[in-house]
Amino acid sequence: MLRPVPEYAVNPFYWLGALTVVAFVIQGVTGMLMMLYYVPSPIQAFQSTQYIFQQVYYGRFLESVHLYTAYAMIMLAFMHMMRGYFVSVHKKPREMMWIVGMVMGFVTLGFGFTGYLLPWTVVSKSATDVGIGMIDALPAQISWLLSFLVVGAGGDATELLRFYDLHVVVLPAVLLVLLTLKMYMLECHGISEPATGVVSQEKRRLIPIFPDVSLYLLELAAVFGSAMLLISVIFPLNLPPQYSPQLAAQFTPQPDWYFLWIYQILKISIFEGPGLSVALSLVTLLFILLFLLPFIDRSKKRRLIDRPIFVTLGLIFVAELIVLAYWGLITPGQIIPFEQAALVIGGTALIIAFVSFGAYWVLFSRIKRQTSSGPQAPTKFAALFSFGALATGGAFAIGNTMNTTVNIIVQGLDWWKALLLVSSIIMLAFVILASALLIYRIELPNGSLSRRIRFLEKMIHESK
Amino acid sequence: MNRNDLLVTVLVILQLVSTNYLWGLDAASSVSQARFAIFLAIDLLSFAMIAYIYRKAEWREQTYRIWLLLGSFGLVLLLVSSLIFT
Amino acid sequence: MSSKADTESKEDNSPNRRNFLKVAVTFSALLVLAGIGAITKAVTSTPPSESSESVTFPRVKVASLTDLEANRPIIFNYPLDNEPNVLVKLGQKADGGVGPEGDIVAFSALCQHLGCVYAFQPTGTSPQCNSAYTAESSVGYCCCHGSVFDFLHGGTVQAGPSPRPVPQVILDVDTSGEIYAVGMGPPTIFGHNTGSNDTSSDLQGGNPVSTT
Repeated sequence: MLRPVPEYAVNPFYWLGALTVVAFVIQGVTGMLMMLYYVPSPIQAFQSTQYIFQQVYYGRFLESVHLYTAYAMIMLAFMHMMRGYFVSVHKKPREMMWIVGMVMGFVTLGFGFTGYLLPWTVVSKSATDVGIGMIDALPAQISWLLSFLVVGAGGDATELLRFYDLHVVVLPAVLLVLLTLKMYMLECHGISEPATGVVSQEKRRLIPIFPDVSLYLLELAAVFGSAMLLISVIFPLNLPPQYSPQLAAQFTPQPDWYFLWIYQILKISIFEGPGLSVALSLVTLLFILLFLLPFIDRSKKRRLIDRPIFVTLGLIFVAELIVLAYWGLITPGQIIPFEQAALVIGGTALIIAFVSFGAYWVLFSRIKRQTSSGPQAPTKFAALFSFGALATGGAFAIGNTMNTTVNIIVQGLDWWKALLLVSSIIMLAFVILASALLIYRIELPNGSLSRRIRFLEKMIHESK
Repeated sequence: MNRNDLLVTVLVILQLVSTNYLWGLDAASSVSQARFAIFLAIDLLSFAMIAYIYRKAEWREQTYRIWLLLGSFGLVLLLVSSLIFT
Repeated sequence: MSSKADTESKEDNSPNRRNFLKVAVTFSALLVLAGIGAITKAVTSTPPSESSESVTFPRVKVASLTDLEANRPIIFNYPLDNEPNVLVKLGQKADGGVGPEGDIVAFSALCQHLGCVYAFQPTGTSPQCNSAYTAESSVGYCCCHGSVFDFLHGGTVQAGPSPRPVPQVILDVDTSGEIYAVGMGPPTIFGHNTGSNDTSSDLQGGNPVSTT
């Protein structure tokens, strides 16, 4: 019935999606147990949540497992997406799987967003209010639709009830339907090839789903489950205070960690006031691009080694998300000056591009080498990119060194500035050494520069 | 009986003991929540190890010692922490 | 990461061993399920306590959307028949506001300072008891000692001796444009365990207005 699986797929990276589903099942079980006691009305939401925490047997444990598994589910879904991106699962014939997967990703984020409001604490209500405000700031066609779904004409009571309905009935149903669809498509297409493109015959041996591969999934699920249990024990949850407008006024709202990167972008100074719609449109555009990836990345190449640009873009995306989220965590409620934002976002992109293209360059000359007679000159493509990356990286490193030095002279030394200075000097040294290496490689007997110079000399001789 | 089979037997007995303990826990006590989690985790990890041994046997492959060692170490750690936990 | 496989199992695949392992795995899985069942049993057998009797606020119709004019307050009793509240359409979006523009709010009309009944003061107007004060935004002004409550921001205290904001009535608008009061937010109404955040006290000490 279900098609067997090649042995190279019995590897945790192929099961990140399955683990996301396992997390979802845990959410369902803990959620259903809590539903026995939770009441979704503004007066009783906090009361009933507190009741679960304090009176219900294992209530606090249930809440902790539910929260941490929610975070794990979002993290796993993200890792699943990025792994798929790097392995080229979005290419033919699996384009629809990518799109369905992206929708499932949105549904998962929706779970996080709707669930966060339910305890009706200061933290959760303020963060949700910010989120609703952002939805309102979207272009009218989208915001009307979302406001209708999520808030309606009523006030807090309607909002809470709709969020609860979404969280407990609508989103799970949608997710299950999409999951069935994805499983069906998986049956049609089978497991994708590994990213290195190199698979030995032995590793292609097929293994039946039942019982062998199912057991592997259960093993992974059991280890994952234990991890969630242990995290819930080591870091048991505490309930923040109940929402009241007075308390909320003293509180800086922060979205949950998986939205922090979006929030950080919105906090950049140029997006103040009317600029908010611009920022949200940009973020929406990014999501649309991700959605339509199968139609943007159309090349047939699947191996990592053949996709330098997209792999670099993927790495930049992940790095930016991490940097922005962490930055958002340490600057709650603060507006970010545009220059700082440009430096951080641009700098991260440049560093990653530099490292990535540099790695590709080294690999190009290693793997594409035809003869083994010593190192060869880099191809024009590689040389051009390397020069570009080195030039920008060098400019950045020099600029940063100068900036940090001036800062230290003017404002005095502290650990953070010392660290910045040391790292920018290291980067500068790296750039200089890499440039030297690049020039050396180009200057080899068959190097492009030498050849051109010899050609020019020949031309000059012949014209005499 | 080779070593793996002995391990499986020990693990099943461990699971029996911990599941029994789980049902007998006094749910009203606040310390029970942590104890429940630890023993359920012991339950789950034992299952994972048993499933691993079975799976490798079905595929006529050898089990990697590192996983069995790590798993056993984890179980011992959990058992010890359940005693310390108050 | 391969620590080389040890010769743990000497490829022993006799039917006996395989059966033994099959039984072991199945039994193990059942034990795990039993473990999960234990928590289900425990959670569902929590004995109900008195405080788990959830407080239910009555659902009372206050007005229709069509009845309202901007800045004209409506006084009503909720949740008990001796607890006055003021409902008003502010004309601009407010915290906790309902209605198509999110500008309809209602608050307890009892000042949190000493329980005087205060009045709604539209922007730019002055109360009769104190012509020196002009409201800079939609507020409630208490004539007794000059407390000012900001109706745009959840009834928070803008000025005066009140130690806490006035409780906001939780409103709901149904599809036919009827406005209902469905609950009270914290803090409690003056005189009902004043200063607490447990709004169940608002239901004690009087007769509830009947649900309509």
